[in-house]
Amino acid sequence: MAVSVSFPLPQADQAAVAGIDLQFAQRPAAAQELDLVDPAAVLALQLDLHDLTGVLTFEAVEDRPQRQDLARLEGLTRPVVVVILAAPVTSGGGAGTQGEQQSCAGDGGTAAAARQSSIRFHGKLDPCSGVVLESPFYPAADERRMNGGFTFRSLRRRHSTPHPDTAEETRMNRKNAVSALAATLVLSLPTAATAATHAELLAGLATAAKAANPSFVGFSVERGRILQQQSFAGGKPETPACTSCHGSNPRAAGRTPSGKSIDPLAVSVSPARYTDPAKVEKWFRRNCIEVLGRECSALEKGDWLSYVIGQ
Amino acid sequence: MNAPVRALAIGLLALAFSALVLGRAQAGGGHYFPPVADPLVREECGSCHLAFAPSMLPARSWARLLADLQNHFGDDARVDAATAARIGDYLAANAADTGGRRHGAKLLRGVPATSSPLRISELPKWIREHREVRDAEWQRREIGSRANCAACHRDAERGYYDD
Repeated sequence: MAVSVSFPLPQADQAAVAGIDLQFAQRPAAAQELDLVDPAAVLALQLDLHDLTGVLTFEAVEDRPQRQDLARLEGLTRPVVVVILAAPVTSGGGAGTQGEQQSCAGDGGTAAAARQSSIRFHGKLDPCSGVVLESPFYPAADERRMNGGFTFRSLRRRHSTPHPDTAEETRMNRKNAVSALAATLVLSLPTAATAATHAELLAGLATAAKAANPSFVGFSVERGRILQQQSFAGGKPETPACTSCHGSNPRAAGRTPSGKSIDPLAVSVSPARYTDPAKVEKWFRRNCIEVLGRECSALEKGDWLSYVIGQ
Repeated sequence: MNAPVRALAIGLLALAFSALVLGRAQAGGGHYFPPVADPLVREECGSCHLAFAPSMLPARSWARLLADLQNHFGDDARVDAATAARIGDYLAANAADTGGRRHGAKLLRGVPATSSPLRISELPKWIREHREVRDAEWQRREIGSRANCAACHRDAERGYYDD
């Protein structure tokens, strides 16, 4: 399994989004996978630290900084990449984008440089599963989480020669951490498959819209935008518009009446959205009934999807 | 003679205070309700609200709730039959009076075996635990609902309700 990931990075300073907390949905499964994953395979992973668009995506899914970040990832059925991070290497160990071997070979410059170029990955496993990973070799006290969990700061060692006593421990810890990284190595970026699914979804809706109205010529992003922002009287009084829960900015997270965060609607920030047709239909049905007081037509669904997919 | 008495009084007061605080902290230690582990249940029951821990209600309550998802606290939350069955099995197996007894038994205190409460926030124990929260607090926008556990219990998603 050689995985290569690269994210276009719009601004280097976005790299501040450095912490990712992960929780595994299928805890027993995750625990097992930790043993199955060959860490060596994962080290083939290349992080192009100059390209980090993905980071923005993850930031947008954060429920709250430092706590429920990425909690939503659990719900995803598709693979999601949780790699990322770090600032472009500026000095010293210019090998920040490489795997462990090269990084470990040199001392990577000063501690500060190492920190700057470190790949930070935070993971938490639920205590129920009995798997709590710690990484004492990188005692990043400032980043430790209160409730167990481990901090995986870097694929490289901070010092070239670890204390002999801790060498084995370190190896194990790295193995664990890297395995965890691999276990969650999953793709949520707009891949070819996603795009195809969006196109398929729209094609299906277009067929239905054409059947309902032979003069149908195509979906309209503008109509979709209006639908998204419009207020309706037919649904529940608490939710007159899509924006009641999703908020007025499709690229920002929304909030359910009971306070749960909703991933942004826009595909640019929630790339995993609208990739499961059954889920799309389920939520169209529920939400249209709540907001409009009826199910939406194929035309409305297509317009709306065209709008959010392009956002 | 006066000075030692005052020092002693202050010391005792400090001791009493810390005992109180410690006692509270310890009492809070038991407020763990294992979060939903089944991904399907998590998805279906945790999209709109926190996926409430199964050990917070008895199995009979969960069964009653699932029987009428069309009127789910004002929303139509119907799911297909296979999904409902799987959710039902999971909840029944981990409810406060079944598999989740160790965690949820206390919460069921005062609930007659004949009643099947649907709202966790109407359990006597829940009410007692939250008696100090004033109405004005519940009205705050960030809270909005008694179902929004995570607004105050920062680690509710992970099952911790100590704070």
